Amino acid sequence: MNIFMSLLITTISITSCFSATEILQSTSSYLTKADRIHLKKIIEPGLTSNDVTLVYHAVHGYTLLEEVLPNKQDICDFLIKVTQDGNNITTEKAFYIASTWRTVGNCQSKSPSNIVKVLLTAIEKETSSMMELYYAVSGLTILSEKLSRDNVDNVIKAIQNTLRKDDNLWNFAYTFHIASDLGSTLGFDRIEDAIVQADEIDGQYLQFEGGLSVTSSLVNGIFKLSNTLKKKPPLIPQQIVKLTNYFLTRRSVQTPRGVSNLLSALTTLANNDVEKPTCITLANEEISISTQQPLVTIKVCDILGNPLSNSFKVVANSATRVGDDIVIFNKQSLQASPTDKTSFVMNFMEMKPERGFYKISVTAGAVTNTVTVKVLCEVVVDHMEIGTADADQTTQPKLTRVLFPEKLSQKIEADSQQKLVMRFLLRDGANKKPMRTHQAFVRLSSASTSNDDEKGHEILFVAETDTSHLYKFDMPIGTAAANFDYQSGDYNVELIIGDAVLSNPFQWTVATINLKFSESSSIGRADKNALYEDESDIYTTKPEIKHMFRQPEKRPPAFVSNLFTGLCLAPILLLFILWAKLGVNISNFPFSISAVTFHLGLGSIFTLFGIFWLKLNMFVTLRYLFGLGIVTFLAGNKMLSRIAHKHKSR
Amino acid sequence: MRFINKCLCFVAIFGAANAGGPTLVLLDNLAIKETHSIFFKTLQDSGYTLTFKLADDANLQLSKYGEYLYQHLIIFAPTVEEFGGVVCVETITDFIDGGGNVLVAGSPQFGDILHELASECGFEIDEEDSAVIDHLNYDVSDNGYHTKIVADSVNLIDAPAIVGNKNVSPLLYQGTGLIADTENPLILRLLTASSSAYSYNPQTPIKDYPHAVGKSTLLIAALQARNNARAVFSGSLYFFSDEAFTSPIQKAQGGQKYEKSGNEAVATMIARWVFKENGVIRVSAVHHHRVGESEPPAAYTIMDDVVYSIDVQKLAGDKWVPYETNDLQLEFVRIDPFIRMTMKPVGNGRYEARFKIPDVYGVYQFKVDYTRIGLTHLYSTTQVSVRPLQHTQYERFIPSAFPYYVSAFSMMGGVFLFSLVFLHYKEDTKPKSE
Repeated sequence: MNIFMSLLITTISITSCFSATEILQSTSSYLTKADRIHLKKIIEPGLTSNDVTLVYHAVHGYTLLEEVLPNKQDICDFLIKVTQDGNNITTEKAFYIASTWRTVGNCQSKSPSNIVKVLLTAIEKETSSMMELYYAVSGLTILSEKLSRDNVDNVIKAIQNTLRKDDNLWNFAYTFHIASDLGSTLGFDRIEDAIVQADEIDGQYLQFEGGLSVTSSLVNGIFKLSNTLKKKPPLIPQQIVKLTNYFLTRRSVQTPRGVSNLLSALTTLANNDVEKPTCITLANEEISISTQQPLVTIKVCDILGNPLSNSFKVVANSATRVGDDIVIFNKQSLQASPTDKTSFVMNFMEMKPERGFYKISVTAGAVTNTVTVKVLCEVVVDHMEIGTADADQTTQPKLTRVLFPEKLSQKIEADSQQKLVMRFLLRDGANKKPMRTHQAFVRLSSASTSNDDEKGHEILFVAETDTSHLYKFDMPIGTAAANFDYQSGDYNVELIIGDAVLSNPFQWTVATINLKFSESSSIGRADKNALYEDESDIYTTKPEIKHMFRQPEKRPPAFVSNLFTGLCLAPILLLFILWAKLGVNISNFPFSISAVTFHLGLGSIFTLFGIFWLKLNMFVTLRYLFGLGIVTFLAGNKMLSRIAHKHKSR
Repeated sequence: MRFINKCLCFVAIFGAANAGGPTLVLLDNLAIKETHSIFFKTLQDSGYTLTFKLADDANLQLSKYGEYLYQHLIIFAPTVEEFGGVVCVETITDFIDGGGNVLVAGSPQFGDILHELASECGFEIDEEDSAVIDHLNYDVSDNGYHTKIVADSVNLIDAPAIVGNKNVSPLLYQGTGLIADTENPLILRLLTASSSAYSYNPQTPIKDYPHAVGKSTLLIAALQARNNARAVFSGSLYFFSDEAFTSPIQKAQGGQKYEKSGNEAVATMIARWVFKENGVIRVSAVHHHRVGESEPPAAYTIMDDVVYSIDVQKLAGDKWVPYETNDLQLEFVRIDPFIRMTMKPVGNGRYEARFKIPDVYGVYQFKVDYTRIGLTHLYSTTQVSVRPLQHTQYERFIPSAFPYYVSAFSMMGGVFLFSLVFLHYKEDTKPKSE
């Protein structure tokens, strides 16, 4: 679209440079049937809505689309209901009701009095905003209520005051509407001020800041006011065309309000007296011309898609080829189509044009526009040879012919010392001349993996031509290996031919090739890849890791340990046996507290060690040991000194 | 009960803060606001506050007093050469670093500043005036150069969180191609062209190798940064337009006709993803304890049996709901992972792992690091210390150590008895000496 636009801009600038000012630009689009259906679809729900605003936009839109309202009676009933049930009708709502009332037509003939009352209050009130004044005045005008002299003066004064304070675009728009309703010249001199504020986009469109609603309101206001005053609005035709262009880009509007704004503005522009914008465009956007479809059909209509009223001749001034500016004809008149008043036909292929894009400058009456068409051709594969050759050019390549669109039956084998060679020639189907296309790619894709595979190894190369348009494609396998990730295997060789002016672009599987890359580098590369893959693939689950617990050491058999247990017990057993033989006794035991305490203490210390082994930790053990140790030490000391004393005294 | 209510209330507020939010829309001209009205309206309907500004507005700013004024940024200004106000590439990258989300759409006339921004995000936009061309898959309404291409929905990324259901009508695309480094794992290829596509200036013959050919031509690409900020680049502003949303689509080379392109569905899903309505998950709770207990101990001992559970939630609308999957993995890490296992879903978004702590002591982490395409990065670590066995926790009665036990205890017993006997022995020698 953008390219098309920029083309158009250049043509506009070119034509405006070269041609005299009286040649007018036309718009390149109009309100098509599809657009009308689209717009109707948006406002349709409004007909059954409970919101006066939506009903108004729907009814308004239907009228402008010249559609028949299906449920007039329901709308009337709804309007009566709304007017009856409440005092809370705002000025805006009152206007909507009044307008819908009048448009629907066959409701009760007498307009409801409370609507008029609401509108009149708004006018008489001093604090009414411009918007309220606009709705009030328009509403009353629609209902054909005459305003009193005083009221008119009041309104005009209020407007003048507001404009002095704040002359924004909306206030201008309201002023124009009110002024035309009142038949006053008020504001006519401000039209220029308003137009100056319009923004131009791309040198193509003219819009007011704030978008569709304000632009529509201003355009309607300006033309309405000029009509009432029977004066020419200070708009030059170019501006009208640009405004029209803007509105036509807004055909995709999505809101009911937008639809009614768009339609009312387009209708106003289509019926204005200054300059009715004409649309010259290709019918059905049929841009492609070929031998099967040799006709260029130009649609000349007004912006609503209706045939123009005045008689005119449609002439194609010239057709210029894009790129080399070859003019293939001058001044050809187009034949009016017998079935459609808006269509004009020319057989373009009669001029025997070469393939390519052509700009045709078309004049209808006083307006000119440029349309772009393209002449298609059919591409024919003249011959295709594929094969391998030694990479160092020592031998002639071994080439095999392949016929389009078949696939070479045998598989081509190629290793890293060789190169893949393709030679092919494309011809224009019409004049059999060799041709070049925009896209001539050779695609190698892995034959084993499916095409949908994300990494399905797809490598594309550009085939190049020599001066005689013979396409050559050489791929030394050794140097291309990196592109293939050193993955040897079967690859499909496909040829993709495409161009904007081709009627038959194609993707042709020519052959299957088995590529063998050198091993050594492939291993190193694979290792690197594996390392790398670990880091890069963060989006999948990682392999599970299980901890290997240390295996317990092997233990000696129970017999051995039992034997040694026995051996360790042997000394104490020996002690007991010897003691028994000797006849030990402890008859000297002094039954004193110290002796008993010492031995109990010693015994408990050893027991404590046993418990320490079983469950206690060192600190607890030391704490107990400290107490026991002191007691045992003191008791032992006393006992031993007593024994020593005893020995001495003996 | 009241507490739970409060909790829910808090969750609701937190959730509401996530969906929608202030969004700055930068436009080339205000007409774009109208030509893309469906897209903007969808956003407004789902709670976004859109602020429309011209891209060269002199009062443009993203942050004030160190606080970001917007959560999201839409740049629908392909031709802008320089942003107005204080906004430049650096402020936008700072915005992304600060967690802001960015959606950028362009056309063949991508401005320099957007080239720069794209390369900051890891993409490259093809040269000016180049467009994606596909002579085999172009739409019937194409204007002549085969640049209005039909992108098959199978070329969408396999991530329902980003693009929704892949089973939609084909997509209309008109614009330039993007190139991304295949080795950058943070880049997501949302939509790629088909094998026969390439990106080049359609009006000049091909002299050099095109920057993007075949499936490596990215039409829409995304970056989810490490801080979970998301940026989407589309080479086509047209992709988001009312015209593309509503127009019928049919491949010119004999294809099925669809009444409506899949653009609206996909663009809406992508917008919901990039503005973090979709694919946002979080950890709501982590529990770990020994088997049979319910509270975590001060320290684990090696070879303890441990239960770890994690609750994961996903944002749905403005509520957090349990997130269900079956590939959530837990790692038990001490510098390197010692254990990595897939957790069992036990329902309601809770996942559980039971395992035996390794026989090596040290400071470990329970680590859940879950990165999936289209989801925010889920990362949770809980540090615990694992100590060796206390001496009482070793095996007590080892048969092969009986000799040691017996000798120690016999020694002690011997000392006790011997001291008794030695100290208090009464010699019977009297009769002998007499």
